[in-house]
Amino acid sequence: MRTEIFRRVIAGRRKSLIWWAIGVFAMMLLVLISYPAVRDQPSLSDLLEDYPDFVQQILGLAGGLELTSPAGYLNSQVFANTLPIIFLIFLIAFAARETVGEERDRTMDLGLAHPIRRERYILQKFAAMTLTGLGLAAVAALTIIALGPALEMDLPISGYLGATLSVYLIALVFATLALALGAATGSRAVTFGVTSALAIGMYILWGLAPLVDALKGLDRVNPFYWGLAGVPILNGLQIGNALLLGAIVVILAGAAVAGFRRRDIGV
Amino acid sequence: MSGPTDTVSLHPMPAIRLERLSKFYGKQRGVVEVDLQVETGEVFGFLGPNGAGKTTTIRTLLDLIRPSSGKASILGLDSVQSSLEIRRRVGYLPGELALWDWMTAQQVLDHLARLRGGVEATYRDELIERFEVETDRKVSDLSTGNRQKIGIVQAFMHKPELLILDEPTSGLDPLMQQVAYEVIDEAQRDGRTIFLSSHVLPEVERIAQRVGIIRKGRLIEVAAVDSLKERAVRFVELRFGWPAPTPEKLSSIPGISEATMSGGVATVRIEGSMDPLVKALAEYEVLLIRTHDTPLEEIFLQLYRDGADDAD
Repeated sequence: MRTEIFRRVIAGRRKSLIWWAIGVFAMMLLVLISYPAVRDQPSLSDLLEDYPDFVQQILGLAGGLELTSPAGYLNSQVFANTLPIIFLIFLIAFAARETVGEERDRTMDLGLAHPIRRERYILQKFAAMTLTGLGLAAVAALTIIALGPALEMDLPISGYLGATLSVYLIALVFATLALALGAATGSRAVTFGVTSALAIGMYILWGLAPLVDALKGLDRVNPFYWGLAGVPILNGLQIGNALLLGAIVVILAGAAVAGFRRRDIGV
Repeated sequence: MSGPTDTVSLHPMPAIRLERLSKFYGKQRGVVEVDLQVETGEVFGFLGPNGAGKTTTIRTLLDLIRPSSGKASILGLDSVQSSLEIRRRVGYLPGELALWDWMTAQQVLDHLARLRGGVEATYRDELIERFEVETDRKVSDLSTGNRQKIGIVQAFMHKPELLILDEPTSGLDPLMQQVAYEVIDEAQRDGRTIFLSSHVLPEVERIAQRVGIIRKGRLIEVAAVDSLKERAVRFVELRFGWPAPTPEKLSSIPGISEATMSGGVATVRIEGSMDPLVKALAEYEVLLIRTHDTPLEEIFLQLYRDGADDAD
């Protein structure tokens, strides 16, 4: 069957996916129900204004967003940190598990000894990773959409959806990089090392670049910049930025295929 | 270059053909310039100790690893160019079989059948029954032997033209080994080719017609099992009445290269025909003759001792 690998990957993660979904839901719930308490403390905003710009930037409060406003609150508590980190951990672990993980387990030998092209093998894994990640993103977005209004969050649905999708795309870029590294090298150290170093580095760069002259412009190579610029929580999905991130994902998926095709497996 | 039409019929195409196949992992030796031809319909045993290059060779056939130089053709197809078609027509049992721990045996077999497509349920179910596979148990709860049975079933279930089995009976109890030999026999009777690796010599001696012996990455011998046996060195135990011959006397008999005597029992090492020994024994009172049945083992060790030295 043409989707057999995809189905196996999903089936093997059913239990873990349920727990991740519950975790994301619980985390969102906790953040949301804490909002009224923050909203009623305007002094918190004043406090933050005294913080260095770097802190404000990394909290997603650049451009005059107030912590006590729904957009500022969600950006600082969810979209600029917690949610991308959750997506990054989930997706990078997924990518590594399905490449170096399966290779080390040696089950890959049996799979690839069957009449399936390596391209299809790795692309079905990519599809499984992309879709399960999207599922988690949907849990996050739907939780906000369902509970926001009850907590006097008056942002448009397009803001919630756009911000979640953007953040998901940021994580997907790094995860597809991990998939490409895992597929091309078979090395767990390279896969995790390079990907997490880049993710952490880019995150810090995103916080610093607007503030440090020497780094100005450098944030244009940064997925975090493209995912959070234009403030999707206020303005909805920034189509151009999302397409750019999507294009990078496609290129990296192509690299995963190319690297996997010509390599010795399990040596 | 000859097209595919040239290879039909007249001379049946070999099932496997390796031409100066070499594989290096960096500087580390995998296999070196292996030339080998396995004919359609035969059971070929690939012998060698662990690390000699058996698994490297086998994994090259399935395009899991690529030759450093030389080439491999399987069913007349190039191992790299036509890998997909080869994998469609081959059944493979990996040497270190790993299955998805979270699946049941049935789920593993279903998954692999779907991945392959066109697997007949009847033969698969027959194999499941004969190997007594516990289909509803999780792989993680199964012993090595029980996992190996799943591996064998999946290799045979689509009735492939060529079976490539890396240490097929490892972990199986004697009863299941027997079933495996039967299934291999039946496959051969159906006209299929079986290429199996082993380090268990009696096994290969029993089911293979020809063997290739690999040592430090080089194929050092390819021969029919029967001809190897004829060259066999045997140990014969002799119990004498009175008077018994001296070990020196026994050593002087043609073909005997070694003789020891302890407590009225002589052990002699004999190469080739037994005739000179039997004739020479006629003048003594012989109470018992016992021959030790480890022929291939001994040839094997001898080949390893005498094998050409190769600088690694």
